[in-house]
Amino acid sequence: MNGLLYKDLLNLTPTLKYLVFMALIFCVVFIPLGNELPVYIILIMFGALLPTTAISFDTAARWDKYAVSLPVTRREIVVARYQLMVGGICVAGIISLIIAVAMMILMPGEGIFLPYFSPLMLMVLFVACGLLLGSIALPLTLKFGVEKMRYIIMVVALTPVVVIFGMSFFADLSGITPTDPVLMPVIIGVLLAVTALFVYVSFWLSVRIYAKKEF
Amino acid sequence: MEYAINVTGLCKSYQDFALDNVSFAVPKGSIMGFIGENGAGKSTTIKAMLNLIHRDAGTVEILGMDLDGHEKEIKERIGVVFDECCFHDNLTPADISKILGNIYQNWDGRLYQKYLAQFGLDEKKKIKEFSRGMKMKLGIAAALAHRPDVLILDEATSGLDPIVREEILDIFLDFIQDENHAILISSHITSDLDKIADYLTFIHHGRIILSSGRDDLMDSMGIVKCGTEELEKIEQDQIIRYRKNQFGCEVLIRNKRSFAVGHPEMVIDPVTTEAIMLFYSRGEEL
Repeated sequence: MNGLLYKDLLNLTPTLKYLVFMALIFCVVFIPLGNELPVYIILIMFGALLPTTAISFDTAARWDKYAVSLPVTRREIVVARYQLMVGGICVAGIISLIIAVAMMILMPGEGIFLPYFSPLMLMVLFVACGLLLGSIALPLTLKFGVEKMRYIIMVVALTPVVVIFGMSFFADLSGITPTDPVLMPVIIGVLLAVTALFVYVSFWLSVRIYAKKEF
Repeated sequence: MEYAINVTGLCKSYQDFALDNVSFAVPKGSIMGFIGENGAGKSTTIKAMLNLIHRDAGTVEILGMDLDGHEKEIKERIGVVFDECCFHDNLTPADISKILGNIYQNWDGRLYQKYLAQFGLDEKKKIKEFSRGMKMKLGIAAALAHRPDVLILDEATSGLDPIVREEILDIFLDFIQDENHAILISSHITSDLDKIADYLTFIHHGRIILSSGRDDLMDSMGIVKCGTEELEKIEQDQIIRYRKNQFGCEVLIRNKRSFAVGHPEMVIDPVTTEAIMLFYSRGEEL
């Protein structure tokens, strides 16, 4: 199964270089403006959609037909996809954390979120959003293929934005301050629980979708 | 006789095509040629044998193990080559070794390198720079490098020039020297099968028409060229198929020895794999 993950990493290396370059441009453009949000969003989206990119390479090479003839189960093939997703999002989360810490040190009081959230909280929040996005995207990609998924992804990609703005909207509506030291852990806890449930259901669906596929 | 592959009652239905009760067995130590015209069901059968598609009915046993219960163990011990290269264009043969080395327990990197050298494939060159023939050779090297007991090859020699095909056929003949090994090879290039196949299985419109030892077929079957009026004199049970042409008829005879006794005046030509395939797919039954 490690071979499957290794194959994805080898295939994605040129794409990853391009994504790092893009992320750097976003950093250079947005961070001096005191707006770190687009950087986080782009990083998390890159991480969450890595399996979709990997699937598009596999589809072009007709890899799945070969993969199913190898001594790996279909479930293991799906597990490798989720490992890639979780790994990609975690790396994106760590980079987000580094950026947030750097901003806090170099530009104290600046930023959209940093004055209200600790960098660690921010990272947890964005990783959870990324996992939600990836969990929606992966079964859809496996079911409909990358081509159809290109259109669906435009809608799905808004998930992190919707979650974050949704949370702040309800917080405003209820007069709750999300940065409340008592409430914050509850919000994060609920978000993590919902995310875990999403990932589990998504994996369960993906395994079933992939089990039914014919090559 | 011990069988390396035993397919029984395989059925798979699509809207416009069906595999109908496909059964055949490949004895250990032999090469079976799997022949049939385009769309006859060769690739579908191979896919069903590998669980790439879901069977409606039937069982597949490979190396004495049932595919449904021992899929992973079976796939650890077989090598598969498809009619197209399934490796990513931006990878190199060296990358493939690293990937498959982390998938197959018995992956032998040195053996893989030996095959690459034998096939003249540069380890560091990107696959996108390879010709179709080179990609097929890479697929064959990858299929052999984990020392499989059974090779399943779906049009593996297509797109290769005669010299490379010869080279690869020699490798298959070497592989089969171990009497526990077996090869199932589907191919349109019947001349290749004439060189290496011990058994032939012919599939037509999703049904197995014949599955037998190649030498037995060549020894028993024959082709008789005759006029239309002579065709009527031939015993019906001797005629497998016949084809009419502008000069008369060509008849595929079931048993050339007994036919020669009854019709000493007629000339019996030997059959080839291609002739059998053409008679079954384009000939008429009496």
